[in-house]
Amino acid sequence: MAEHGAHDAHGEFTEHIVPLKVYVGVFVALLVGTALTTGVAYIDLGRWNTVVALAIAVIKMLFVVLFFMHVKYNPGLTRIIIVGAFFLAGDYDLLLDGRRTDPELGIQSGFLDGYNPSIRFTIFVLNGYHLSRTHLLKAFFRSRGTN
Amino acid sequence: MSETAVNEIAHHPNPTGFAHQFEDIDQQHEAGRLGMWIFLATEILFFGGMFTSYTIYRALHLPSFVIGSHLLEVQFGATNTVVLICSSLTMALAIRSAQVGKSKSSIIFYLVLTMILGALFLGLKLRFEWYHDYVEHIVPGFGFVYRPEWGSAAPGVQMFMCFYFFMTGLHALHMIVGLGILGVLVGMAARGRFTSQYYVPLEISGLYWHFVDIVWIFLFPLLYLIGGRYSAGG
Repeated sequence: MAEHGAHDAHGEFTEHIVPLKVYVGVFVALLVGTALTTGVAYIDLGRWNTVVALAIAVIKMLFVVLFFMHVKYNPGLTRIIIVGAFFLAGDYDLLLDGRRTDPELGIQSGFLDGYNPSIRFTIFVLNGYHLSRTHLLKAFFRSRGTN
Repeated sequence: MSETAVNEIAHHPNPTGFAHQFEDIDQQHEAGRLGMWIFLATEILFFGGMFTSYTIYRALHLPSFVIGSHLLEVQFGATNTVVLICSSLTMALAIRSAQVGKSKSSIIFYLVLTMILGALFLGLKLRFEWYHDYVEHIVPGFGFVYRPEWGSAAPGVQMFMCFYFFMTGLHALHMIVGLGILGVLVGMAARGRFTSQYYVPLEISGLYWHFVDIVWIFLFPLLYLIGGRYSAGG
């Protein structure tokens, strides 16, 4: 089985060809994930139902991105774009934090009080992500002396 | 372009589809892939805004959103998830067929299979979900009827259905665009445009198709599952 593209013969950039069994393995993993997430929805886990459902979705996404979309085999530039997009999308979490949102938008501080713990958990994670990203960017600019 | 590069191009016949502004076919391939990823980055922001709105409104109207989620039928959502996963596999296999230099009929076979699965997804959605919702009067703007058992949660239920139709509708629109792209690819494959050296259009269209699959991977649990089916009586 040819594992590399034809231009590999010229000793240049190598296009990785994913083996068939990897594709089939990922396919089976995605089917198992779908069965699992559907099955778990019928079990009462309280706040953890949402967490488990989203965790399975993230794992399924990683399988698709890494193997079907070849990110596992791609050079760095593509990865920077993907990570960058998620960083930008992370800005939406500002909307979820009442303390940092204009009261005129109608979203006030503490608007989540008394709501589902799983939603509060999701927002807690998003805020943690936002804070860590802010620190990461600050550290980056400080290291370049442009703060 | 340097003189050596010009000579190289003059002395070595270019693979099909090679555009002269690139140094070589690998650079062209990389540029195409990067461009598609940048487009997909904007798509992440696009769908991300919708997912965030959904999260906020779900937090504000949780009881209504649980009732709304129970209006959807899990078996159709799950079936369509499987259909889309199959279509992602056949898309990946279409690209692989080109990469390993299989005949164009093999590429066309997998592309057409992907199209059939994509159309099956849309057909199932239309026939067993959206049409059913219309008959049940739970389509906002098309004779939405509040049910007595919803009580004061009723306006929120309508809000959930707005999100449901907007999100699944936008996803379906992406699928329709994807089907159009696949149709173009079948035409290109039939003309023998793809070789083991030139398959960029196949690959970047595949990236788009897989992205649409990923959107559904998140829509399925968010809309159908996290309302907790255990309290719906199965």
